[in-house]
Amino acid sequence: MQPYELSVSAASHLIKSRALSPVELTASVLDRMEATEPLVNAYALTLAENARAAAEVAEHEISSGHYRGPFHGIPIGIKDLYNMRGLPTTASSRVRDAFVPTQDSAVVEKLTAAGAVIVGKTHTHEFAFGGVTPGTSNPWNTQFIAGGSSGGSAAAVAAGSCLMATGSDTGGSIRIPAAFCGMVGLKPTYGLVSRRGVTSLSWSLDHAGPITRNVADAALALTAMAGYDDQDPGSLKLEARDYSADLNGGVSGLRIGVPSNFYFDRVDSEVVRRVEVALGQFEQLGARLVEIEVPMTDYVEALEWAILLPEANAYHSEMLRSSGDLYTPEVRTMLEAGEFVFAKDYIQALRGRALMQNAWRSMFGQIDVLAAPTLSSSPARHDHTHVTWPDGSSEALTESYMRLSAPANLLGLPALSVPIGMTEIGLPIGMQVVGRPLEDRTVLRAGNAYEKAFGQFGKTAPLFAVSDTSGKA
Amino acid sequence: MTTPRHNVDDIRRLSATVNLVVENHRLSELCEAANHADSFIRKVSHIQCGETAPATSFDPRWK
Repeated sequence: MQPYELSVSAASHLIKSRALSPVELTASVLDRMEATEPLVNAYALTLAENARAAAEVAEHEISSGHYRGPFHGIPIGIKDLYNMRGLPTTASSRVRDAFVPTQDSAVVEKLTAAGAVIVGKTHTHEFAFGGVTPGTSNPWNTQFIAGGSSGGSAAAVAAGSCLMATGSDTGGSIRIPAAFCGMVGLKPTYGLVSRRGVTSLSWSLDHAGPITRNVADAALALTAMAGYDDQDPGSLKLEARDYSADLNGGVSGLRIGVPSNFYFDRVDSEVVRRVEVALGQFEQLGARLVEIEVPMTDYVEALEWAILLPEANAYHSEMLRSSGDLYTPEVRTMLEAGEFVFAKDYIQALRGRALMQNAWRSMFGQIDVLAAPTLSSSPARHDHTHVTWPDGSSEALTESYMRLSAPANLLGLPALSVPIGMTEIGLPIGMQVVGRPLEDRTVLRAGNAYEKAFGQFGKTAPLFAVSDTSGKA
Repeated sequence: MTTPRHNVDDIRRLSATVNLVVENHRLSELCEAANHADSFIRKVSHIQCGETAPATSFDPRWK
């Protein structure tokens, strides 16, 4: 095993015991980046020299007895939506070509203080508004998309060009690419992780969180990233928590809700079969499966779009007028469409969300977590724009990808996507575990139990080049 | 199918009113996108909210 293949947990254990040097680990990751970037294109900006210097500092600190914790000396990627002082933060848009922030985002501050080594900034779908991340390829088969909007982050972690990366999730943008790239994606409870310095898509739906190779790493990352921030109006004032604390508690007796509606409708049969197997595996571990009707699902897409579009339009309003032609046509048009959402519909959506929150609260009286497919399908090929269903209908990719992940954004619930297997042509499939607000540790515990028993976790992708048309992994 | 709520003339007029530059060749595309979004969004008017107050800021905690 090469150092770049290590998980954060494994690497940090070795670094702490001085069996692995941060300099050696960073060099391995940077070599891997050089080899994989021509195939994957996960990074908008690489920071090899900065990373080497940071690794030297980390090594010196650790050898001097100043070990800062599990991210000390660990190479990570930062989604190019997060501000980094003195470095371009483009949100993968020409609109932001000249933007160089003067302050770090809150998460970058925290991870830097934890001693992390930032190796680069990862591609996002432009302004995080889309589920594709054009230009970035899926490391499991580069003919397919990585998903989005945090596609660069998921692809980088899967390819081995960092051990963890940050993402953001407004309608699934952490979980979608994590599932497509065979990684773990955690959208924490709304307000746990500060969004200060993270370019907004939709203030009341945006979440920041990690993409990792296994569940234990996601828990470590959340512990490092979470914390109250009075400069993020959505931030929750809570005491610091160790999100790894309950990780090995198992799922015996845990009531896992299996949706009888919505989450298995218009879902690829291969995905359905694999999720059904995973649910059975949860039962083998002692969990109790509870069939449950999920309330208000008829309104999920209505609420998500009625809130997202006007909030995104409000954020982009001035830029659309001053620099409209610098956006990609697709994203510009969608942002402009937000101009024509009626105020009454936005208000009605906010009220509807409050009703949905109450209805889901009642549902969670009968279950502890909900388990369901992360996505309706496997990744699309680069040239596809729609998913075509067996009845002949079609659905735009982003709409299809957001459909099952949006409820957790609307309600701010913790949601963890874990890899549960592969399609026949070797592309990853994910399952999401959704919990009650602030019960992030419960979803992590459930994911970890599955990983320990049946895990498809922690593997870097073998990287099939575009010239390989077999699709076999 | 629902009747589209937006038409190209309205999009042109509204865009001009709010100083949004939409060139003629983009009007129909924007109109189509607005109607497509609206085909999802208009469903919110069917939600029976009763006296539920509008949420001015979202709080995920169950109280």
